[in-house]
Amino acid sequence: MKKPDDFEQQAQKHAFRQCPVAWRDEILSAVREVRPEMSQTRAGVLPGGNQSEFLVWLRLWMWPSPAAWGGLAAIWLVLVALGNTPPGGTKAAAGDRSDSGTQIAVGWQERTRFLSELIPDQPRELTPSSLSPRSQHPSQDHPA
Amino acid sequence: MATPSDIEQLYDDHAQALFAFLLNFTRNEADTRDLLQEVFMKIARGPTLLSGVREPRGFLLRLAYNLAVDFTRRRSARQKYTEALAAEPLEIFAPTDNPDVASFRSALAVALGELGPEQRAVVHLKLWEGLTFNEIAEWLDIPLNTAASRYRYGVDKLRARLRPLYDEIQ
Repeated sequence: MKKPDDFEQQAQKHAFRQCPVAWRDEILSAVREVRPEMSQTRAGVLPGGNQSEFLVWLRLWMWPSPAAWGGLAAIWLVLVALGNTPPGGTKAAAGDRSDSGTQIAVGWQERTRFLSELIPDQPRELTPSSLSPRSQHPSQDHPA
Repeated sequence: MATPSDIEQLYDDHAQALFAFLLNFTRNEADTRDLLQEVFMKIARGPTLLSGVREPRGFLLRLAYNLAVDFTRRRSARQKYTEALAAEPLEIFAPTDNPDVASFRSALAVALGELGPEQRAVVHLKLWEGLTFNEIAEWLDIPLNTAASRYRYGVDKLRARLRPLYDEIQ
């Protein structure tokens, strides 16, 4: 890193004014109104200091507007919940869905039965004639 | 993981740095007072804010910076507040008996006022808080290159503005 030049070093030497001494009592008095217990915690750890790392991380991540981010998360959860609700959101609607499921099951059974009628359970026994080209046994393919 | 023992201790340890930073940023003592109080009120309202914070100074300066930026934006919406205040002469540096030094400090205060607030914040943190560009970028939540360029252009402006006086007191 580049070292500060003479000008920067010169500027650094100039100290800022001291913070007015009277402000300390004024500001800390105002703070005490928010946290009356503050004066009793002088030697202690701030309340909540033993929170989990996750909560600390979450709070820092959401800083400086945790309320805004929390609100956004709540809206998002509501939208997700609404998106997962069945149309109409009633038991009747759920019943309709159940009925349509039954219809699908019945239709599937009918289709299975129809296919089983078309395809015999036992495969046809292979005979030498059946292994020959179809053109050589026209009587089977073209019944009178 | 260092946790400050309480707000009074925090005030004693960091109020002076926050005061200098806010005074340089706002260029107004009354606003500095309000913002400094607001920093500690925020900590009082949310004492767990500092849990897990390794650098309370950095956290407090960042909090002060964000509050000051919000504050000046609110003001700027109504009037050219920042520019007007920055143009006013303001004694932000400690008084001195040496007239040359006093003259330089006064000119430096004016020259700082001619920088934009965000540029001034970076210059302040680098020169008077001794932070690295990485720390400034992290604390002010700006890209590293932005921190470096704001500083470089800011110091170049100060140097050009103060060159005659600076040569005098060398």
